[in-house]
Amino acid sequence: MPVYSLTSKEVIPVKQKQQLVDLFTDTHCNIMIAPEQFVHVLFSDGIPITNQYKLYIHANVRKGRAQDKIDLLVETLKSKCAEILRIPTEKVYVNLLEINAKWIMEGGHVMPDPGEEEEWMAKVIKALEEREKQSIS
Amino acid sequence: MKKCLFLAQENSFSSAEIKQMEGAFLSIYHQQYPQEKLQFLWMLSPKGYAYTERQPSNAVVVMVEVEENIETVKREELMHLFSNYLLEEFNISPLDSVITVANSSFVNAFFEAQKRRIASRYRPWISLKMISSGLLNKLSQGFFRLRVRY
Repeated sequence: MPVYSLTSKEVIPVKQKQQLVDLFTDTHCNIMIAPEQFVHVLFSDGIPITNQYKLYIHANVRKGRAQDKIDLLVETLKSKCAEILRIPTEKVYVNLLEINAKWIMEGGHVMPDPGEEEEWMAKVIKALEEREKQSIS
Repeated sequence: MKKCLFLAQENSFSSAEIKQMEGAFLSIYHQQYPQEKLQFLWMLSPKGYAYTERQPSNAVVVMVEVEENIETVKREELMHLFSNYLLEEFNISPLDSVITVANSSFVNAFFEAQKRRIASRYRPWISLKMISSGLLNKLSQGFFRLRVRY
């Protein structure tokens, strides 16, 4: 988590896809202060989008962030996506669906609420190191 | 009927493995909900359609629907069992799996958003295309596959 799902009518060229992936990773991690290891970006195309938008972004993110951060995330994604795809900002739509962090398991542990990632990340790394040692021995 | 959605990379599992996984997930699910049916949906991304940590993704993302009033202990037990199964049977590291055990209200909102992204006059056509190709895949490969490209 997060999972960003991008839908477009046109097929987005590979180079622009990579730019979008970097944009989503950077923007999410900088604004939401989250590890980039778990930022997922998916694409689908060939779909005529509602209200003649050119890009529809569906975002599943953990619940519990301040509204000003969410607004900043949405506005940044809209403007930067528009820049990359060379389309007007109004043609980008963001639908954000917040989910309770305690409903998600990633890294083998139940996800922490926003702001509590450090302890969770330490647990995840430790568990993986232990498993690595076991598999070697 | 509740839903179970898998997001993974195309060709990462054979049809037999997918059926095996569906059977195992259903069996785990039945430990909490013995009577409930699960509809399995697979979204398998071709190369260039899924990324994690900036790179082409190896991740398996699973969303399993549960009732609103599920106890925290039961939800966490389900997540652990699903995660352990992927690790033990398919060697999928917990770092490469995302298991979401979500209430029906969230799952419904998720699928509703998938519908609402489509221009209203094309919705019947796209839905028909999705259902027919999903069923065709179910008949030929044994699992219901959602389209990524239309």
